[in-house]
Parts: sequence; C-alpha cells; structure tokens
Amino acid sequence: MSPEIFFRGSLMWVYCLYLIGILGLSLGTIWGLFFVPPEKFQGDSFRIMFIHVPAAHLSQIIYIGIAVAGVVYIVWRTKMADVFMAAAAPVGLITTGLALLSGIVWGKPTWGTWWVWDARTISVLILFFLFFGQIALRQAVSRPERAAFAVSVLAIVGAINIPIIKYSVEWFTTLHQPASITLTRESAISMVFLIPLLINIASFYIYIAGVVLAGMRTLVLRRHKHTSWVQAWTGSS
Amino acid sequence: MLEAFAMGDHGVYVWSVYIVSIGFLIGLGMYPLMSLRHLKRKNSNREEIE
Repeated sequence: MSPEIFFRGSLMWVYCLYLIGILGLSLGTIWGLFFVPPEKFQGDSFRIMFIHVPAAHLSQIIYIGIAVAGVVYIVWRTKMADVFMAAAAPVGLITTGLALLSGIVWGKPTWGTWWVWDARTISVLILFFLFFGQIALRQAVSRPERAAFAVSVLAIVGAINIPIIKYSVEWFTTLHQPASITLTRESAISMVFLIPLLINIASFYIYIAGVVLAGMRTLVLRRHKHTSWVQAWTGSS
Repeated sequence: MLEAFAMGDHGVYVWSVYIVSIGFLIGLGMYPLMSLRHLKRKNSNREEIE
C-alpha cells in the first residue's frame, strides 16, 4: 500500500477505533469499578485487574506485531512496516509501563510488597527496556534505512522474551498467578468479573489500534512532507 | 457514597492506578492527533512563505 493511499484511507478508521475504544473502556471500567462485588480473598484491590490485564496483554501483542513487522522489513524492505515499528514502540512502552505500574500497586495490598524479583516481573521489565531500546536505537542511528534495519533485528531477537513472559509462571516459582483466561481451558475467573474484563481487553485493543494508526499517519506525513500530495493536503484544508 | 470510593483500605491503590492509567491513555490518544495538526500548520506556513 502506498503511503498516500494509507494516509487518505485511514482517517475514518482512526476516528471509528477511538470512538468504539473509548465507549468500550468507559463501559468496562465503570462496570468493573462500581457494579462488580469485591473479590472474596483480595477485596477491592482486584479491581486493578481491569487495567492491569488488558495493558499486560496488549504490551505483548504490540511487541509481537513489531517483531513481525521487523521480519517484513528485513525480507521485503516494506516502508510501512518500518512506519508501524516506529509508531508502535512508544505505545508499547506506555502499555508495558502501565502493566508494571498497576502490577506494582496491586502487589502491595495482595502480596504485601510492591515488587518481587521473580521471573514474570523481570521478563516484563525486560520487555519495557526492549521497547525503550527500540526508540533509543532509532534515535541513535542517523541513516533511516540503517536505523530501520537495526530496529528490526532488535525486535526479532527480543521476541524470544515473549514466550518467557507467557510461561514464566509455569516454568519458575513465582508469586504471580498462572493465566486465568486461556483459549484451551475454561476460565478460572467467575463470569461476574470476566465480562467487564473482556470488554476492557477488547476495548483496549481497539483504542490502541486507533492510537498506533494515528501515529503511523503522523509519521507518514512527516516522512513525505516534501511530496506533492502532502503539500496539496496541507494546502487544501 | 464515600465508603464506595474508599473501598476499605484499597481505594488509594485502585484510584491511583485508574487516574494514572486514564491520564496516560488520554495522552496516548491525543499526542498523534496534536502532532499531525502541528505538522500540518508548519507545512502550510512554509508554503505561504515560499
């Protein structure tokens, strides 16, 4: 897809994704905060789950997306794959930061400590630094093609961390509970909690897809600012 | 009403996470839109000068 077609065709998608995402997040959050009873063992602190779980899910999915885009860039030199990596890395950094922060705050009333150095927390912290590394590496390399190549390699190598995050609670002894929602087994969470959680997870995905798409549009405009179609667009409206 | 917000002893944990997260999510959503508007204005100003 050419950058111009992408730029012109994606505006409506951005607004639709933002709107659906915000509505869904509002619904899931209000439901989770005010209409769900306290959990039997954790009391009200479990409500942090409605932020923590979607943020943690999404940070891994964003990294997988970046790693796939890295492969696409290295094999086919697709410029839009590079644009995706550049737009998604800061978003991944923020979502991973939110997952870590909400986990830290949830840990205090639940485990009695803010932080433990176990496999799950360390592997997610590594994911945070991998996103940070993506951004720093792109800034550090002056030639855009070389920067894109270097970032792609880092993304692919760093992808080894994703299965480590997923299976860390099974491979190692950790305070963190195993996955409560899986595709293969029945959910360990009661439906009362599961419905608002699923609404928030889906809405997080939709909203963040809109954010990444909006970021890609900005990057496309910045990278093509001297082309005739960008000048026509800026002059026309 | 206040009890519902206090959530026992857990209100401070829950609300701090939600306030920070909502702030970051709004910022994430606004940043690319503001950047695009800024770029557009910069480009059209340059065109006028040229």
